[in-house]
Amino acid sequence: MRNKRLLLVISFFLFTIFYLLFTGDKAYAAACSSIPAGGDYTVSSSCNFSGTVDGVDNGNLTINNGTTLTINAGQTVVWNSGKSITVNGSIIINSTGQLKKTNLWMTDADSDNYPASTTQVAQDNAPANGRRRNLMSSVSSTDCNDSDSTLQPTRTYYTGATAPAQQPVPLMPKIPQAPVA
Amino acid sequence: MTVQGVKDFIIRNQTAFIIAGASAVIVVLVLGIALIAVKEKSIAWPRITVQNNTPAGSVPSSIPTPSPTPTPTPVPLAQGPQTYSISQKDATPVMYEVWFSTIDPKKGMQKVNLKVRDKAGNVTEAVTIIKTDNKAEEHPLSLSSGTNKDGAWMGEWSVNDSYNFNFMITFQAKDDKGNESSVDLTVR
Repeated sequence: MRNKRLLLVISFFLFTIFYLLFTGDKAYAAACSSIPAGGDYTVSSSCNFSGTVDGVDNGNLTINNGTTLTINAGQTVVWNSGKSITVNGSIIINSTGQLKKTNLWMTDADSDNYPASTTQVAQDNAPANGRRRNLMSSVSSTDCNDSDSTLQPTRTYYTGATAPAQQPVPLMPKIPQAPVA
Repeated sequence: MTVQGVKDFIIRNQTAFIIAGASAVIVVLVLGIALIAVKEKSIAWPRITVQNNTPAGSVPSSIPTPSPTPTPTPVPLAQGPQTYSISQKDATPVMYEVWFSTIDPKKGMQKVNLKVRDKAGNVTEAVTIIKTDNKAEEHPLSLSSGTNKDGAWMGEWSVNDSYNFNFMITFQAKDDKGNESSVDLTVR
C-alpha cells in the first residue's frame, strides 16, 4: 500500500515535469523572419513585418494557406510593379497601414552594397544616395563608413606598406579573413 | 514468463524499482531545471542597471540614466482605437473587419468588435484567443448587432499578462453547417 502511494507520487512528479517541459511551447510567430534583401518571400507562419517600411523587393510575396500577414498601424508593406502578391491564407490591414506597389530603397552613398542605416524608403524613384534594397548584401548590417566603398563590415584591414607582415587591425566589426599572401 | 511471474518478480524487487524510479525523477528534475535555465538565458530579458555615483550624504539632482539600454526594445504599438480590414481566401464564415478599443491595454480592459458574414449558414460561435508572452487565453464573443448571417460579435476582457515580445490575437468563427474559419492578427 505504501509503495503504491510512492509510485503514485513518482508518477505525478514525472507527469508534471514532462507537462511543464513539453507543453509550454509559446513560440508562436511574431515578426516575419528571414526576409531576403531581394527576391521572393513566403509567409509560412502568421507574422507582421517590423518597422514602418518593409516588404519584398524584386520578388513575389506569397501568404501560405492557414497563415496571416498583418499590416499594423502606420506600416507600409511594399511589393514591386510587375511582381505579385498571392494570398492563399489571409491578410489583415490596419486602417492606417498600407500595401503599396512601388520600390524599396536604402541609403548607400558609396555603392558598396552596405546601407548607411536600416531605414527603408518606399517610393518609385531613387532618393538621394538611394539604391534598391535588392542590391544590398545585408539589410541589417550597416556600413561604418558610407563615403568609402573600401570600408565594409566584412573586411579586415592592415596598417603599413607590407600588409601581410603586419598584424591585422580591425577598423569595424567584421568577419575575420585570412591575410592575402 | 507468465503474468503471475512478472508480478512475483516485481514484488521481489520492489526496493530496486523504487530506487530506479526515484533516480529517474531526480534525473528528470535536474534536466528540467537545466533546460529551463537555458531557455531563460536565451530569452535575454531587458536588464536595467542603475548607476549610483552619488557621494554619501548628497542629494541626487536628477534621475540616473539606465545603463545599458534594454534590448531588444519592444515594438511600439499604436495608441487609441484601431480598425483592421480582413481579407481571407475561401473562408466560411468570412471575418471581414475587426475593431479594438486598444491594442495596448497595459494589463487593462480590451474590447473587440468582429464583423462576420456567412453565406452558407448561420454563425453560431465566435471566439478570440489572446496569446501573450506567457500564456494564451480564449474569450467568447457574443452577437451585439446585425444577424447570424452578417453581424458584429463583441467581447471584452482584461489582459493580465505582459506582451512585450509576443502579442497575437486569433479569431475563430463557426456556423451551423459545420464550417470553421480562423485568422491570426499579429500585433507583436
